[in-house]
Amino acid sequence: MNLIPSSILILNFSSPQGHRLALFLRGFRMNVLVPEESGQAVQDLSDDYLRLSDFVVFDLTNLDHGAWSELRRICRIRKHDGRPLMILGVSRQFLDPTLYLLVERLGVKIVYTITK
Amino acid sequence: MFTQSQNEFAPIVHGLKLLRAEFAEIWLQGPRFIIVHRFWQPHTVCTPGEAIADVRLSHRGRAFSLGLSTRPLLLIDYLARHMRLPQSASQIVAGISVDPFCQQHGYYADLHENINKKLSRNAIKQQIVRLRAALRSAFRDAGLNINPNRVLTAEEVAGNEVRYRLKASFEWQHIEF
Repeated sequence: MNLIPSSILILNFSSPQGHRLALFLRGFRMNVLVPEESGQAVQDLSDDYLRLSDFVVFDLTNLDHGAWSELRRICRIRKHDGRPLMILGVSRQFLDPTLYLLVERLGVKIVYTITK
Repeated sequence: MFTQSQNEFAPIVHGLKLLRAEFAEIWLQGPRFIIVHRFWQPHTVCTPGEAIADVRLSHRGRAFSLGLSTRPLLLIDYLARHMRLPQSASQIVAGISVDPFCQQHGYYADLHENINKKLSRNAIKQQIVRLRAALRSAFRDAGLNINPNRVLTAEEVAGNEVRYRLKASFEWQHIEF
């Protein structure tokens, strides 16, 4: 699995899960940031801060209204050269079809993971 | 422990690689569109007399119709066929008025639409605005965060002239009826 080093933001994950994912991705020499580990909630992150990353990995497992609003905000952000952020939605349980379509319409690519 | 993480997070790594490839393609080649031509005649391709049925944005295995009327359809088809040549509104008017495909649009099915009627520079500019609105709507439906002005570009040249060009990849599909 060769991935070119990039900047990845891990958002909305529960603490141990996000930490483990960050450790795993750092093994591929990627620059991974977990702002929630340093006490910064997603809503505290400015658009300029989010613009610095290439990828955003967003946990959709327990998507509440607040997280949904933040996801919409992140999806609208464009980098200074006009490129959008690449957003990967991760869920550990199957999403309701309506919700799946709504999230997909935001431009989020959805993947499912299994936790044992 | 590492093997368990590898299994658990492999879909994420795979997803990140797919996203990167998808965005690189869109960024370098532009979004992908399918132009559907009706009244195709056997053993021919894009002959004058066919009609443009629809233009669709293709993204992640789904197609999103731009929902355009005949004239914007003709304009986007014309611009797609001349992608390497930016053209001003007056050049587009001149091109469309001599282009056999545009002049004989739908003749195979006796669709005698007089598309030259009232075709002017201002009409082309108005259609460019409509095209961009249709692109914006299709991008929103597809979840593509792209500015339509980056796909249907307006390039300024010396002498107070703007030249339009499409920066996207196109595929033509043909159906008989």
